[in-house]
Amino acid sequence: MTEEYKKLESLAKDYVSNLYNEKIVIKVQTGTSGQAVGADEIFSLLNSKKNKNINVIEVGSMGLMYLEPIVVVILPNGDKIFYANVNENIGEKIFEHYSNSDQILKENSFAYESSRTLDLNIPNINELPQFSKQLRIATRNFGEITPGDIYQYISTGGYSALNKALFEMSPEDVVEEVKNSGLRGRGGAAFPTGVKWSFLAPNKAPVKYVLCNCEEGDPGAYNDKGILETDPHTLIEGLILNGYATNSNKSYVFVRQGHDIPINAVERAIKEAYDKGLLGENILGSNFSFDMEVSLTGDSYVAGEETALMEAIEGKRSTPRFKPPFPAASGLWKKPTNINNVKTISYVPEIIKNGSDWFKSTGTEKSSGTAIVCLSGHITRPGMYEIPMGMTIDEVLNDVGGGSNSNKDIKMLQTGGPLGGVLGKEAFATKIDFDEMAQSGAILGSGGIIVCDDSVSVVDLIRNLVAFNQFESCGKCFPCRLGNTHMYDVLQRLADSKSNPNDLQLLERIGNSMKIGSLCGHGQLGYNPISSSLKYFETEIMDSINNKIKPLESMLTPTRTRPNSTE
Amino acid sequence: MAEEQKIIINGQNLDIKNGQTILQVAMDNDIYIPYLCYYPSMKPYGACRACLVEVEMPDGRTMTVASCTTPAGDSMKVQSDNDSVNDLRKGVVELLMSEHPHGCLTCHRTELCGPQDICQRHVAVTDRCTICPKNERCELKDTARFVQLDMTIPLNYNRRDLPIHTDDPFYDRDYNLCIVCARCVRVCDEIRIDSALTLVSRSGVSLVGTSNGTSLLESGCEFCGACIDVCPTGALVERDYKWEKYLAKITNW
Repeated sequence: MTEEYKKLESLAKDYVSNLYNEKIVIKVQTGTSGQAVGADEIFSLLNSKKNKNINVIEVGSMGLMYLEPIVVVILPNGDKIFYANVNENIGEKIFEHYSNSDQILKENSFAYESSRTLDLNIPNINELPQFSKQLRIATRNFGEITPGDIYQYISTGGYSALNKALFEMSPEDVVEEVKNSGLRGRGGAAFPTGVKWSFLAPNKAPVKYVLCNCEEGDPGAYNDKGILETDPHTLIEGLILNGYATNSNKSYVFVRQGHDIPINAVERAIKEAYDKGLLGENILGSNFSFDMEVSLTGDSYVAGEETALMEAIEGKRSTPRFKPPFPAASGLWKKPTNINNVKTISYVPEIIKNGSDWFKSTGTEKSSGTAIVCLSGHITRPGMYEIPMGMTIDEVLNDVGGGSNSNKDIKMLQTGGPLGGVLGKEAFATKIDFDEMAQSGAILGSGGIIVCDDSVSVVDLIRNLVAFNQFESCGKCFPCRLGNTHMYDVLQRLADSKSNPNDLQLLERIGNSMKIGSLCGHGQLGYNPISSSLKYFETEIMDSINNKIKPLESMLTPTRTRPNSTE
Repeated sequence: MAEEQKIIINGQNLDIKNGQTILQVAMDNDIYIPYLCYYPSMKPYGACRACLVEVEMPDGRTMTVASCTTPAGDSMKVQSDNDSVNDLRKGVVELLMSEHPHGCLTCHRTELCGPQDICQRHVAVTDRCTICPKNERCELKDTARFVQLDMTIPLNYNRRDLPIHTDDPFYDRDYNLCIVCARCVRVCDEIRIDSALTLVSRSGVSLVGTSNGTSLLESGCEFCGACIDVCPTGALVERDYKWEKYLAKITNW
């Protein structure tokens, strides 16, 4: 272990023991989801009251978004009590209670965490299925540390993987380790990450870039920004490792403009990393130098496509480039470039720290590690959960998600973003891993799972998905620009109960043109929602095509079609 | 020097010159592959997808690629003219035609119409090719004929109904006829280094325009006419030479 890292570690230890020292610590979870229900106000109220006995710190969301705002009280003996749905009054009550008493306040609590069994009529958090079913690797610090606070991150073992890689491993070793771990890209295409890195590593070009993609425009997916706003240092450490492994010296974190909480968190984290010598010239006293910058998009979904993202960083209109040349040969500013998703990068520090065999031991044979899923829609416990690969969809829905939130059954799921697919009940036994999901007609993609109960019509769902794809098409290649518009037209006819008899063939014909003819994944996958729902809901869709249903209500999703379209 | 590389297009064994794409090799050897966004001397763009071809790679994989952007490689076997590629191409041109006036192209009387015949019942006036300033010198029309456009399953026809820009000197811009191939934008940018034109908006409403919607005079346009030379449709035409080919045909110049 090097002197520099030892020094940082001891500073971090002092800093953290100062936070916890013999005090009651109240942690307020103020992620984006928490702030939406007033967690930031609770934090500023409690923060103004803190004294020498009670410390109040701000942490990111732990993923149980249906219970937010969550406040966690840590007693000096290490016991934790979790309070759910806190408002300012309850927050004040919690604070007053612990100022005056050493008993545990039961009101509003939903779980505790302790090595002993406490008699509180609430479960230990590790007995809750939504918690016990999880395996937290990339999200290990969720709800534990202040986002962007480097000392808190180092105190949990942060940057030790970087230290290990810089002084004990060669760049080739790092690539080999990632390759061996079986880590696959979490952005949607599921390409083996180590293999991707090995394309760039041997390139002798003087300037190479590593990029991190946090565009994340999929409705129903919020795990990239979750990592960014809750634990940005994991990402930064992973990116530095990526740069070291591929001999690159410059990186960009690409975030969608307007998402201020993640942007501020990662900017703060980058600044702190520079201050502590973890970024910049000669990191930790080694001869490796690395720079990092945040780059913002405009408001475009296609900017998340890797080559469109590079165009956007260059300051151009974010439309995809044709391939070849592939980014590893000519990417950002025509320099060799590697690009990975936030989630992919966030696994790397733990893989380097614990070894690839440890990582490979979870998950399935071909999809190692975990999946970070975001549940939303008609589900009892919406939130962000990191589950081991190989868990079935049924387990995720019922054990983790708690089943439908209405008295109706779950009818279908929409996974992997609007370009993913629609899955019916028959597919709920599918294991969550890249290949099984692809076989069932959907993709795991970014991990967003939108749940619909029986009240939702499948035509309405795919109409919304196609409308989204239509709205977000960049307009460069003809099949995607026009195909999405016409598919939307047809689906609108179906929804209005005014369809033509050959509408299904028309959809297929347009879908085929888009699938084979389009320039990038947006068009190529644009027919997926329809093809996958035809697999599971053919009768319902045929009823619509034969105009046997009542017209659906108009939808709120905007489209970019011309207003004067005529029959 | 590397060994001479050969590519097989439609069964012909052809030489590859340095860095050529499949489309360029085909053009050098008089094999016609339709294209709308590509233009010789400009960088490939890969948007129109009319130049799709089926390629069998040396390693046995078969894929459908845009020939304008795919570099020709040794021992590739290219098919530019088989049923699946032709149908795919037709599908793309059909989509394109759904926002371009095309009444004359799908009319059953097309073959019977003489240059000055006045159509009385079959095609609405605004949908006729005969009223287009580039009739018979229109690349889109040639392409539509090549793919034997017949609108297999009719699509909704969305005429854009945009006002025609007639305020600028020398050119008229009728974006109702534009196919958004971005040739004009790229020639202005790459060849003329002027960047007066740009693409505006996106998805179904994306179109060529000037930044902030100014007139060409205010956009920094130098009126060199490069964009008019490359436009495949009647969207951009010099005012003095509108309907040029049409007149030439009648008067037998």
